[in-house]
Amino acid sequence: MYRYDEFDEQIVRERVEQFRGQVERRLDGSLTEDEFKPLRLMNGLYLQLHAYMLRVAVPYGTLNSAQMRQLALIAERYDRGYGHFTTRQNLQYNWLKLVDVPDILGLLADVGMHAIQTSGNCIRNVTADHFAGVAADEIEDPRPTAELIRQWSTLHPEFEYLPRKFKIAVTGAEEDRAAVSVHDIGIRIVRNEAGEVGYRILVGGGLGRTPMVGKTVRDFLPRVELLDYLQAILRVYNRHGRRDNKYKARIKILVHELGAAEFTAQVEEEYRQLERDGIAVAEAELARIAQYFAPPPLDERAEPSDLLAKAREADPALELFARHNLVPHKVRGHTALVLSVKPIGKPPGDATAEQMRVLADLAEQYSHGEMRITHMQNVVLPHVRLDDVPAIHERLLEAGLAEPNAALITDIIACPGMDYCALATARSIPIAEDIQRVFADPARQAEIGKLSIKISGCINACGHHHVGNIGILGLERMGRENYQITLGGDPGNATTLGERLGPGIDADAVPGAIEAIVDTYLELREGPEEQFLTTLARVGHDPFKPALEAKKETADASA
Amino acid sequence: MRGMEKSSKLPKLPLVLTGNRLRDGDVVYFDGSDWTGDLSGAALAEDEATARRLETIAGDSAGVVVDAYLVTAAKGEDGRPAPAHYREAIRASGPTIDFGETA
Repeated sequence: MYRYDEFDEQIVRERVEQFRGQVERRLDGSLTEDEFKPLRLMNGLYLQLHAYMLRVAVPYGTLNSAQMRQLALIAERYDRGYGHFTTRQNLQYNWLKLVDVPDILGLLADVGMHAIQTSGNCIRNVTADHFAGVAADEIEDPRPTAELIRQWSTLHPEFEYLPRKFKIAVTGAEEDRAAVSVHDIGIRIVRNEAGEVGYRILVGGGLGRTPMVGKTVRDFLPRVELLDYLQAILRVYNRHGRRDNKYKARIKILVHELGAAEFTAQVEEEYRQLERDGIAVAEAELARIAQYFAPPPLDERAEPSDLLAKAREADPALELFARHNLVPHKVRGHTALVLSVKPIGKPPGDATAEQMRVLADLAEQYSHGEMRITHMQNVVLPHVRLDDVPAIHERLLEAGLAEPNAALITDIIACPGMDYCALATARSIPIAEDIQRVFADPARQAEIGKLSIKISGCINACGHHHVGNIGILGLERMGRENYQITLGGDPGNATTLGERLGPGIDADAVPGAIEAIVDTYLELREGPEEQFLTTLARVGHDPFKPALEAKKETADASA
Repeated sequence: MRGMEKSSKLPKLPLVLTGNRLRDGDVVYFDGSDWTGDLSGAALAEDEATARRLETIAGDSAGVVVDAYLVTAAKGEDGRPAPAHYREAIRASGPTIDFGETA
């Protein structure tokens, strides 16, 4: 794993002390809230409905056991004993006091963590495939590239005040698990015909109020040119991105208004004129960074594991867990283990301090001290021997982290929604919990198969509803919560934005409507192998509409 | 400050003055002389003159309370203020879901 060097250490420590001074000046009245707010946001500190919320960066979703234990300690000492894993692979605390935050940032700095650039109109924490370095379909581990971008973008003086926030995601695999097409810049590590490794660059994707799929501006960018080329993109955006209207300020609007061809032409022109200022990526530097991400020493082992096979036969719960939560590892006899932070009927992505410590212990004992946070709000132990799965499963059962539902219908993404968030227009978490309860039976989930539900409590789409197979958007209508349902979203290689099924419905009608949609799918699919999106593409939205209408009438009648 | 200019249009009466305490972010309401965490103890402005007085308080309290704002409240049967909108109900009572150790 990457370790901060002395420059990183110094930057983070100085930032902690700087923020301590800013908090003091705010409390003694030297700073007004208007002056202080941008400063706290630069340190990831928001004011939500009930308290301050701190968003802690987990660069490319990778963290070690010591870091996880520190997160647990902070949760216990300064929050209410838990934290929330987000769709940006970060962790958020919900109940902080302003006066405690400088000390909290100090504790984070002790383990090489911080909250810098997790908010504000800058280049945000870079995200990556959570199976980086593990997946068999990988051309290259995306994390050295993501780390390079982190180093370049951290406190970049030119890009601290962009028109709006800016999110970059990287994947090095054939299957896009990092949703790169819905980021401001998406980077795919690819191989050209000559066999050289480089980058395909997508620009202008995003969700939110105006969802867009990113456009390819370069099919193959030589590796050494990455930072220069990103600089050219950011310069065009910084110059022409709209600052007059917050809702039109993201780069996706600029790309859309100019057209992809014109935008690309402007980037290429900027790139030609760029005085190469010494940020071209030296192969040696990339190699230096990459060595921190060298795969741990894993012994190839027989596969399948006899030990695991016997344990699966003897224990139905383990069998279910192994069937759904194990992901193939590129090294034989190993697995990447998805630990679902989606127990039925509980807030998606919330982990208690105790659970965090269990995760840290398991990672230390069984996964070379390493964990990943996924944009699905789960945790991955990336390097586990198949032989160790039964022992891990025992511990997970005790900790309430053994839900056998990875990528199934109850593995729901949900933003915090109005239970916490000041921007929300409706609640998300109770909707997710109610839907989970409807589909709680593991046999039923297995019968349905892979199907994603994603819920956002407002149009900003932190819950990625546009790219959910079933998307749910919570809005307000006439003083009541009202939920719009979309079908057909897909964040992967064939990125597709869901389309609305019909008028919004009341909260209490949502679980029934989802059940009716799923029942319709089960009726219409040509076999258990046909996934929801395939069926939908074949039959269209129409067969699903009556189910929604029926539920709406029921809700109206009971209102 | 949201809509705190003298000439601004007031939200629908009756109103309470609320915000989040600077030090800890807690939800607080103005009770006539100080800030309280309990909505039912808030001062309820039932006429425009009282509401305008609360508006002045909001302006003066920026060192203690962040983004104080006037919001429409309901008047409960006991005459005390109650939330008029689900957002304010959640602010007043906390998340509607179990969380942390109790989840």
